[in-house]
Amino acid sequence: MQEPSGDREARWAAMLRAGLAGDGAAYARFLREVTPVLRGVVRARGRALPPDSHEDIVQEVLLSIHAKRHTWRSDHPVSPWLYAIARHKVVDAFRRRGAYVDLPIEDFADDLPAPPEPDALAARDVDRFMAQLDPRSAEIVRSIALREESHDEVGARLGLSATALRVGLHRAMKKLQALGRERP
Amino acid sequence: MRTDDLIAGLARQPAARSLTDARIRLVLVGAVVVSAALFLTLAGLRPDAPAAYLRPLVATKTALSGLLFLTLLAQLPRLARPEAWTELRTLAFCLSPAIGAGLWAATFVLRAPADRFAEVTPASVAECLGFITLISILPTAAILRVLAGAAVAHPGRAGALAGLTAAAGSATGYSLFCTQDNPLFYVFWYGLAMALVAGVSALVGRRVLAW
Repeated sequence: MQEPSGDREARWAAMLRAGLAGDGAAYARFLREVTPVLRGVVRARGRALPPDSHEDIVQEVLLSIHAKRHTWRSDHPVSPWLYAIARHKVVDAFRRRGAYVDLPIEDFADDLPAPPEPDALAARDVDRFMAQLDPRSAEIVRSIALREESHDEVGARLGLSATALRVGLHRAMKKLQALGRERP
Repeated sequence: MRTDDLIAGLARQPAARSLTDARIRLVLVGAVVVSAALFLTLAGLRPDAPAAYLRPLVATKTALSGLLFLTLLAQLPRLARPEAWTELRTLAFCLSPAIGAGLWAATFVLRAPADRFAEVTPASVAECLGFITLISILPTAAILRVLAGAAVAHPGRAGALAGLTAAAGSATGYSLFCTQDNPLFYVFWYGLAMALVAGVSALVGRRVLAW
């Protein structure tokens, strides 16, 4: 659940103000709160880049925020300043990696915090890849990995022995991972 | 390196002094004053000073440059904040050029053809362009240096505006030496000198203001 952006704005401003005055703990809290926002934007726009460079980009943006922290005036709001720096650096980081990105400022405003480790198979991607599996493999993956039915149930339903089911699941997961690696 | 470790490292030195609007303006005004004063000390004021400054066309020459300088100076600090580009009110920058254009047109109409461009000689043009550019060097370098430490959203455009401001201030100082009182001369050639400085400053800015 997202808090009202006004409260977050006030909290960030207080933390950054304290940080600039020398409060390291407040400054660290500020950076830690900002990080998931950055991660979300980089992940959302960074489909063209391999997932392991996403965190590198997040770190580059954090370094820029740190290097330019003296450009924030405490009598101005934090969010526009932060988003402007982040957007500038994200576009720059993508460009240096050969991926051009259109990054409207709304991307930062409508953020949702992202989990710490980027997973290779986000839910949306899985559906797309599942469509590329044969129906039998797709059903196995859906039943066991996604719906978490027991092996016995699934084996009975599909007419597969336990071994055949295990092998089928193993092959299907390998195929999915291969699809995940070669996505554009 | 893990992101958590990076944050912990950055948080070891959190303190920073904010770059204020006042400091940006002070640097530019200071550099303009120093540079123009140095020039005027070496080259001297115009021979018929100070009485000449009371003549309307002479006073207008200084006032127009000064007006452009002040309207740009007022908004210049916005260039240093990455989110403030949309806050620029470019209409304000157009005030002085608009008055200048009107003055140029009126003078053109009111003067006999022989009197319009009589002052335009290689020497007078070279002097005007050369000196304004020369006086602009220090203020342009100073303001670019300050902005390079900021977070400029558009390095090229910011360089152009910064250079234009420096040149406008320099032209104001130069006008105290200059004896070309025909608006057809000074509106155009001062304008061209400022545009040249702005152009060079834009190119330098693209490199120096990038981050």
